[in-house]
Amino acid sequence: MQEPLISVKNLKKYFEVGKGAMLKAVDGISFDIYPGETFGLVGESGCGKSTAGRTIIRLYDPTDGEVIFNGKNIFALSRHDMAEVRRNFQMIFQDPYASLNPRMTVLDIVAEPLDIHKICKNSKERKERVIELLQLVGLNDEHAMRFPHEFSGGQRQRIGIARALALNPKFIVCDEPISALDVSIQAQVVNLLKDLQSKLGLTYMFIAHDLSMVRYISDRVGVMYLGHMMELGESEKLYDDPLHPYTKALLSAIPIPEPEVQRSKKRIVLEGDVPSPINPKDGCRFVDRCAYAIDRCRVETPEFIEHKPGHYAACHRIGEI
Amino acid sequence: MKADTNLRPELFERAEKDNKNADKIKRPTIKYWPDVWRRLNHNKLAMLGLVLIILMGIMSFLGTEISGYTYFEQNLSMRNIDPGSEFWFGSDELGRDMFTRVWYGARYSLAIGIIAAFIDFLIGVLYGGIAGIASRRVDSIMMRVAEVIYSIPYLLIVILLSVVLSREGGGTSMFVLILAMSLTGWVPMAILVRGQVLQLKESEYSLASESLGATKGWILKKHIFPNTLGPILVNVTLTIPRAIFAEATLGFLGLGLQAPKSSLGTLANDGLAGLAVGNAYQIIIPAILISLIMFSFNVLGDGLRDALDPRLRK
Repeated sequence: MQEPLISVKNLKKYFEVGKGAMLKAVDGISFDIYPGETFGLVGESGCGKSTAGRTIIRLYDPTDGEVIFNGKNIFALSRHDMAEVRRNFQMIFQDPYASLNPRMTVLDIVAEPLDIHKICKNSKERKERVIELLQLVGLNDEHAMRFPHEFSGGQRQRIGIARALALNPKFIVCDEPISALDVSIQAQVVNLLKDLQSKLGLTYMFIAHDLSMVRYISDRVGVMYLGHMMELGESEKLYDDPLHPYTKALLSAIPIPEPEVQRSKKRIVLEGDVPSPINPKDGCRFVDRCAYAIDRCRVETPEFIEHKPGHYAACHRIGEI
Repeated sequence: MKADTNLRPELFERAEKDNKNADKIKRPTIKYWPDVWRRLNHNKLAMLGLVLIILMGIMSFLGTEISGYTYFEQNLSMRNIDPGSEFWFGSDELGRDMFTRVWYGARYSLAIGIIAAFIDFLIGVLYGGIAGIASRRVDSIMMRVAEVIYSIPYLLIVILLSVVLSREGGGTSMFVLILAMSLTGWVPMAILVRGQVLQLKESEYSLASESLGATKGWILKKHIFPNTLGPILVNVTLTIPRAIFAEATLGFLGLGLQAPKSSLGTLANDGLAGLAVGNAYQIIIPAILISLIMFSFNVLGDGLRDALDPRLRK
């Protein structure tokens, strides 16, 4: 068995919202990410997937849990040691309009990580490195002196990717990197990410709510619901044979580009909305919307167990349904 | 003649598919401040405001020299003379040259406005900046304090201060006027800066910078400060006319500078007496100048607001 690059153990991130109220955005999730793979994380809006990604690279201070990287728990590292480790982690943001400072040129934006870590000795070396990065993402040197607003959404996202690559990271959290782009550009950016992965040996954590896109890019997929991990498995297996009722419902919502099939397809329609993550009740998080819920589901939080090799799920009734 | 609508194949030629230049941007690069200046230049009203401000600024220094009279020299034999070749803007009821006095007054009005706005800027940016960066608890204490200060009417402060600080029998000094206005005037600036800092602190590019390993100081210097500069500049430009107007109001109410010094407000106050005896020019001329100053700064501020926003760039 391969050693995981990153091992997330019982990660929790709570936000205090007023007196006694805790927003449990991420409530005890565990998973491994192996070198060179793409780990997809899907779920509805507000289920905590972005918070999970941001906590893993320590943009947020975790409430509890561990993230093991190179044998060390990075949550326990001092500020100084963290600065070194941080070079291995990068992030690509959702909104390519908001994630680039409108007052900086592309040169300065892409060079920012180099400046922060004082990597380049002089401005010539700095510029050469930036142009190299721009070319890597399909832009060129004449873009360097421009401002972000002169670019299209796809180009901006590529600038964001170039910035994330500047420090030669091992692991990149892609926080819905394509959801703000139009469909024709989405494919372009996803393929660029795939190319870069094979060229540079990157490991991705790919956060998204577009299930077809996640299937296309991910080797393994985790499904989150209200701060809990519901199911995790190799993407083909998970898509072909979902175990958890929530995953089943999610997958049934993917449109199939075949009118005949699409028309005859049975959709599992979930009733109601995602409950509030503020002070959630015990028991399975999905219980109020689950067609298979029994009394036990309301009392006891189902454990996240391996039902088939490499295929985990958290549900009391997996054998029965 | 009938157009040739017969589209024969030989009229067409194959277009070269050219993906290489798909990402090419043809527009020349323009740096930020030259671009702001260029957009401001396109705004005729704002440029008019800027030109008027510069003209009035120059006149407030040169205008007192060219008529040959001083602002304090009284000539009781030439009282209340209508504007004409002897006195361009007429003379007041003590026979002083209105032209010289108006520009002398404009000098004080502008100076008070600019200094007050500058002090508001310094205190407001510092206070608002600290509140924006500080922890939530410190921030809320600081903002409550600011709100309490802002709730005191400045007129009350001026009256109190002028009673306490003014010399025996004298009017309110420039120092007291500025002090009174600045005591409450910095609050809107502080609120603006705090809001900007809070917003920019949460912006994705600040987060991106943090994920790259940047320190708080770095983010402040590289991302937050440059992006607050625009709104701050606009606010300063709009604070100046407010301060000038406040000073004019005080002067008009008789709480202004002590004669023979004058500001546009005290001149208007003096002119009020002239209105009753048919010397309307004594109040109209300073009033027009106050309006012009207000107008100029306001349109310039508006123009700057548009010019500074890179998203509005054409």
